[in-house]
Amino acid sequence: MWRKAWWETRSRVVISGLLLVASLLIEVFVVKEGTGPGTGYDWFLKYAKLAAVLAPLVAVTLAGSGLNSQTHWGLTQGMHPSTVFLLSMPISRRRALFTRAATGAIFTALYILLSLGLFSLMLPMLGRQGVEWSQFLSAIAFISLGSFAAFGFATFLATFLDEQMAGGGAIGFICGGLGAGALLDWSNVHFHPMSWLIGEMFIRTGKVVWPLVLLMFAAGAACLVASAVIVEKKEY
Amino acid sequence: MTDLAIEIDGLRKSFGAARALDGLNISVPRGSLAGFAGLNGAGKTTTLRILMGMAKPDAGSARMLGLDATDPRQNLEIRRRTAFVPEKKTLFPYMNVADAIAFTRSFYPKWRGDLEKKYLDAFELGYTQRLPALSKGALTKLHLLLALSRGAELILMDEPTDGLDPLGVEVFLQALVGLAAEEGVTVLFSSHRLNEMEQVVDYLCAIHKGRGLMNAPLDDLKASCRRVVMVFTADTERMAGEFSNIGTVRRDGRTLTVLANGEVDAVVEKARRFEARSVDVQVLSLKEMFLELVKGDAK
Repeated sequence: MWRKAWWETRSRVVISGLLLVASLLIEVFVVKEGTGPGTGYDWFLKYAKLAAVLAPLVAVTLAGSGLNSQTHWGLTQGMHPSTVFLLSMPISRRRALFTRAATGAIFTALYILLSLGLFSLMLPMLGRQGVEWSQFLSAIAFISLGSFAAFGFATFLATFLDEQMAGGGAIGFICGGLGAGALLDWSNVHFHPMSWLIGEMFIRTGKVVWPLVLLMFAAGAACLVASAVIVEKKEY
Repeated sequence: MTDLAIEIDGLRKSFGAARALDGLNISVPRGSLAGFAGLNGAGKTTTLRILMGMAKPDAGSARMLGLDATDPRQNLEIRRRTAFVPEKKTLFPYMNVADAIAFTRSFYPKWRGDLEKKYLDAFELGYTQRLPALSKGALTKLHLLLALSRGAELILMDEPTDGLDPLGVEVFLQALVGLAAEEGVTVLFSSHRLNEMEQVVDYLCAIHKGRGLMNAPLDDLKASCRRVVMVFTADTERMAGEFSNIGTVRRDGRTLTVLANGEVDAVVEKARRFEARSVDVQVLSLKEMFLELVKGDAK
């Protein structure tokens, strides 16, 4: 099952890898021009904002659509033929969903880790001060939280929508949320979502905003549990 | 241990307003090579989906190998011991034949490597062939290979000969006979090709409009089922009722046709009593038997 999940995810992993390389190149060759003489952490935060946008999109791409991903390989009168073949074997639906979701989650986590890790390593080579462990881990933790919520939401949509609809819906929702966050960041309100989402607020003020952390974690977890329940009850 | 591999009792299933199964009762003895006959939309695929745990019935019970097929945990155990060939024979497009075999084999410890090689040769499949490049018939053959090599106690197949050339059909039918006769495997397969089915099955389940139509050993059905065609001098409207308690009756002007199941003598006797001008007792093929029953049911 793990090998099958890898087969089904590998093209998306390659796309995510290309996105990762592109984001690093953009940061080094384009964004660098606009960065002042600030610390390495200032530049790291700019890159983290890009990562905070890209990581949830990668999460949505890698969330795939669980069992429904096989719909476009032969959707016929509401039945999913290759899913029927899969489920005729001694594997529980929950395990089929879990294997696929876990594969997507592992590669999303790898994307976040590699993305921020590589940029952190590159900073001294680009003549800037490196970031501290606390700054690095804070960004990893908060961006992972946002990506987890996006991943759960995409998985949930995919349990009842086909792959394209689910992906489009999740990306639309994420873009809407991040856009609203960016607007709030520019406005004069006290709370800056993007700053919070990349761990900057925690580093600068020591505040975590636990209700928001719990809300995002609960939303992601609830979406995954709901996905499992829907898949259990669904007829193929 | 029950002697029945499949026991279906009062199974009901609707999709919105459409009733797919309407109190279906059928059973298949262990070790049988059973045919599952029915017209399009009769409920064959829905029945097989319920047995494989892919759909839930509205009412009734479905048991396989002594286990409750409608219980997800028990169905998992059923699937460890059962092979299934679905109606739509698609597989994973990123695999080749070897990958599909390796993936399927990983779920079945009793996988039969000897049968795998035998059917690879018989069906002229190669390990390196990519699945998207396979023809419809070749994909069907691969599905059959994956089902027949699992070392299963029970094999369910939904239209397994769909897309097969005559040679492929022949290889498939021989394989079924071999598995049932030599390995004691129970097989239930649905098909529209009743002539092919008649060549190999020893048990028949037929359904129509979600209800059971026939459920018996084929030899018993063939020995007891006769079509009696009677021609009368007068109109047969009144007489038709006299035969309806013996068999399925069809009326066409002065001709009455009765499908008698085991009571042929009683039909002939009654025909003579009503002074039939001619009485013709006909032996039926499986196809004719099935069609007569369906026509009778339609009336």
